[in-house]
Amino acid sequence: MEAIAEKKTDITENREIEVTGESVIKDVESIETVGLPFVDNAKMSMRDVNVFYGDKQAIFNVGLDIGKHEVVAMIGPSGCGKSTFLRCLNRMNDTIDICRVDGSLQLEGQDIYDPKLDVVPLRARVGMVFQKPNPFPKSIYDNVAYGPRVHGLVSRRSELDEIVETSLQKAGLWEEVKDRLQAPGTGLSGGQQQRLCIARTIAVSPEVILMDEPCSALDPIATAKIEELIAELSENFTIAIVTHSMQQAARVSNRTAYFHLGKLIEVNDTEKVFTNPDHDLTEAYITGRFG
Amino acid sequence: MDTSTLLATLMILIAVAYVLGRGRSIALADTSGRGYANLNSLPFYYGMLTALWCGIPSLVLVGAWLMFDATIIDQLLIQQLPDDIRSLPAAELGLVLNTINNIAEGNMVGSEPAPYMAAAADTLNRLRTTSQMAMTVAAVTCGMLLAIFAWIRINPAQKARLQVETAFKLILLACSMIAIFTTVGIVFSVIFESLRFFQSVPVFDFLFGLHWSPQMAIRADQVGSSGAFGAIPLFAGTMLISVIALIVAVPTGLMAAIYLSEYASARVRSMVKPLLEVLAGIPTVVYGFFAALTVAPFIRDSGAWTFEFLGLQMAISSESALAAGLVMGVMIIPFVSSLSDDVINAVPQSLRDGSFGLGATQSETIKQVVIPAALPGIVGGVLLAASRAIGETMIVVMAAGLAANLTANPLESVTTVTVQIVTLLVGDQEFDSPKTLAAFALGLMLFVVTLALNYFALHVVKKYREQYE
Repeated sequence: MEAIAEKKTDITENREIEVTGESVIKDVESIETVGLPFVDNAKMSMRDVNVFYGDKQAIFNVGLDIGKHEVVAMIGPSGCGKSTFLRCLNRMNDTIDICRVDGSLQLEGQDIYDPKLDVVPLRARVGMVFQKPNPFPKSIYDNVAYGPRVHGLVSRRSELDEIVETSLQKAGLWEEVKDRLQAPGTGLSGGQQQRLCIARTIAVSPEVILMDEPCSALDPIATAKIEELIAELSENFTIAIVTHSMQQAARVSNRTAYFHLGKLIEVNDTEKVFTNPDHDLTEAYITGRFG
Repeated sequence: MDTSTLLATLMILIAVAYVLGRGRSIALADTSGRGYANLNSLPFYYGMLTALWCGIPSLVLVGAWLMFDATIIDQLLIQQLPDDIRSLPAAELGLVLNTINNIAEGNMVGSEPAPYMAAAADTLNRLRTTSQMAMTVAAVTCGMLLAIFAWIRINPAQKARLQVETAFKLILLACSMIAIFTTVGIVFSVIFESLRFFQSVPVFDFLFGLHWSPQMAIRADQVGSSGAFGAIPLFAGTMLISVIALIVAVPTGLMAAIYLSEYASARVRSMVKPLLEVLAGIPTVVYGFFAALTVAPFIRDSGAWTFEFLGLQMAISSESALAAGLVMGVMIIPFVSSLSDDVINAVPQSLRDGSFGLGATQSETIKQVVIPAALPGIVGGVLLAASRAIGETMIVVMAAGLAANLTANPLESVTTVTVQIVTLLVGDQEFDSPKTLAAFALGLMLFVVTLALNYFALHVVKKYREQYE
């Protein structure tokens, strides 16, 4: 820690601090996460998580809790492992052959990497919204109905209609599409597509929603709508969001986790992270000196 | 100088023109500073320009000369023949010219040639030599003069780069025109011959006739003097075999593609995919042996055994639509699988992630997201395979037979449009008999059907694409 403080004094350029940051992290075998990574009423709790892509380690000893009905934002420079970590939380990394995950990841006390565990119900409980809106090449109705149909949540058409309507309402899209539910989902605007994807995710009534940079492909107006939506959704869902926009993290989240080169540097209440962070690397990042 | 030597000479001339043109531009260049400061274009372009001036017109001249000199020489020769020979009908005059040609080339002729023929053969040889010499002189002179012209014109301000660019554009245009004109020419030749056919056989009889027996009597008193030209059995046979082939190829190919693109590991994929594509490289004749010598007898024997077991009295032909269709299906599996594999791979990973993220299993994802998204491409692949099946000839010749039966029973022998075209045109044929001309009418029909199929395919693909993108 002193090493950073000493070096920081003579740093003027962004690039140099990044280099310094790397060298510091290489020097220290394992960095202790500072702040409050753990909470009492954890929905998901992760301990000592290590992720490898082949021989390359992407995540180092990360421990983090996500509380019930909490919005946790994950920020950090590109390639810091925040998306990789997020994708571990519903085992989306299973689709990548060379990816290996170690450590304990629990959803309400249940180990989600238990080899006997079926990923299908897990992913129904932990839904995901992706970086780029990815509506299926189907009608708006069928996009939202996809999850309930796959999981057999409905037995009658009227029940399905109801789920589609409430999901679209929760996603704030109902008013815009109620007259054209049979139109292709791919014909919507980018922001509408992303809200459709959110509606599709909440249609299976997940407990946790993971959002991987959900606004990075959207314009500011669409972004504002999604952010509003996140605030509303947090009343019923637990949300983990990866974002490149620090303003967004500040606006939507309760706690913020700062990742750097595969390590979790700091977790604190969002207000504290953005006003008075405990760690120098966090401060360097949020003040825009690198990243 | 014979033609190949002339072409070699012209090539050397072109190379020399290039070197001289390039050299002149360098000589004119101001090299006192860095690079060729005052040249409009690089020396390469001046060289190319000179070479193009030298080469293109002289090569075009040689081409035109070779195309027309035979006709002109023939005309000159006919002028010199005795009057009674000149007034012969065209066909007999052609025979006379042929004989003269043979004498001129020193071939043996059946009987002692008439004196006028020997004289004409001498004239012919003389004319040919003259023509060859004239062509050589003209081409070389033309190349040299134009090269000198271009060489003199070289100056630093000349926009050589743009001119070479334009010349290449024109050369490319000419090449694409060749393809277009060839297509148009083929279509017209088929249409004209078909029209001649329809003068002797009514269109209605051809299109809707149920009986195909293309025998025409040469003499009026011959047996079987009236042929029957109903194309329905042929198209029915084609359809039967194509449908069997598609029933084999579409599910197999599609599932192979799904396995390769969704389930197979990279190692398996890298081994299986090329192996599958080897199937596409096997000549259809070889598939034909396989169908005729292995599959057809197998079907006959196993069918006979089955019928005996069931206590039925039925014989199975050793040539059957089933054998041809099965083997043709195997042949087009790689088309379906390779094209489907490509379009399935082109479905963005984000769609799969979206489906997995909602808790769908891999097969649910494939059925409900990947295949619908890839459907336009898959339909395109299937229709391409269908047009391959419709146009396929060798397998059917060997395995399905020549009997034009109108049947939906795959165990009987049938024949197809392409097979009939081949049998109608193979061997010595007279080109004014409906029997031969029927081939062109069949070809025209096949062309129209394939065109309609392609149009329909494009329409389907476009419709889905609008919906999904």
